[in-house]
Amino acid sequence: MFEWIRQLGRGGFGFFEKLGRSNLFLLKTLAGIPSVLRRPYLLIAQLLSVGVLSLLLIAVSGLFVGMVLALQGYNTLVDFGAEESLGVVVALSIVRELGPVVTALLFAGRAGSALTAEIGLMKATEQLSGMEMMAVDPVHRVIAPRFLAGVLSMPLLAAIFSAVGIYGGYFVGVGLLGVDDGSFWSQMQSKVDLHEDVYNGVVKSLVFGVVVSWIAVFEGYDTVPTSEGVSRATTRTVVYSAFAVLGLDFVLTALMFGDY
Amino acid sequence: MKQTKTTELLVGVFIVAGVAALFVLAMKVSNLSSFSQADGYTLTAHFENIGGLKVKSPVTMAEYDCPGPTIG
Repeated sequence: MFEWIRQLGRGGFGFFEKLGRSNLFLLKTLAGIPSVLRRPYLLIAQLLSVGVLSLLLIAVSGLFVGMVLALQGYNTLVDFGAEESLGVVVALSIVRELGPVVTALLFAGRAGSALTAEIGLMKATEQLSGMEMMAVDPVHRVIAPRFLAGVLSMPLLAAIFSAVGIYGGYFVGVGLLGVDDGSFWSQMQSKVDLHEDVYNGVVKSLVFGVVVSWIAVFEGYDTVPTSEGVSRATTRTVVYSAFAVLGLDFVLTALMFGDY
Repeated sequence: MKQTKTTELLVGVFIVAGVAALFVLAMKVSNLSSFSQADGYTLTAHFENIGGLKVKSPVTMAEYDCPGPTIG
């Protein structure tokens, strides 16, 4: 009984310790960003592994998400004779929600887990302590470029996802199902607002980029330096990122689109 | 730092692709494109029944497609 209460307390303290540690770590990482801008080649190498190599996954997923949306939307809309609105359905759902959210989830699985594993293994093999011995701050040299690359890549990847997805919806809706070409685009253009929908989608993806990159680099840096610790940290990155993205998505949607 | 040139090139292409996608979203998808005025002309017609006809509905005339006219 007492052991159970003790464990509860230990778990609670552990949670708050980790939360505080991760926030201090974020501050240190942000302080390291100016030194990354002085060494842009570090950032470019990370943009390659974080952004460019995720491009194929994001584009193909976007294409299929758009195609499925057009197919499902058409089946529902055609019952009401409203299949002309297919463009609006596809564009709004992708630009507002699916673009930022699905990109962030895929990004956490493709790039976030790799970041955690890489940094965790660097810690386990004492490369990070080695840098400290040489008076090189690993937060400036290793963490900050990876964090910044994640933050910069995410909005670009989400925009590519959205654009490819809308063209996938166009291909299925207009090409295969025979929705009118002109009304597909013109209804979309009259209902999708640049500020309300497109900008808010970009803001969402930027927030998700910060959160997912932060979780990934922190879990790597905070890992228990063993093989098992690295594997657990990698799992935690994907799980926490998914929770954070979906939870934050609700909060951001309520803030952006709620009428109160 | 091997293959620096290729790395830089790929990252550059990635950033251009991302910005181009944002541009597509702004110009092709959102209502910013409604400011651009395409060539057209005004037709006046009278109908008995235009149930279901909304702004930018497709209108066909003698089986020729008239893409996206403004109904008003």
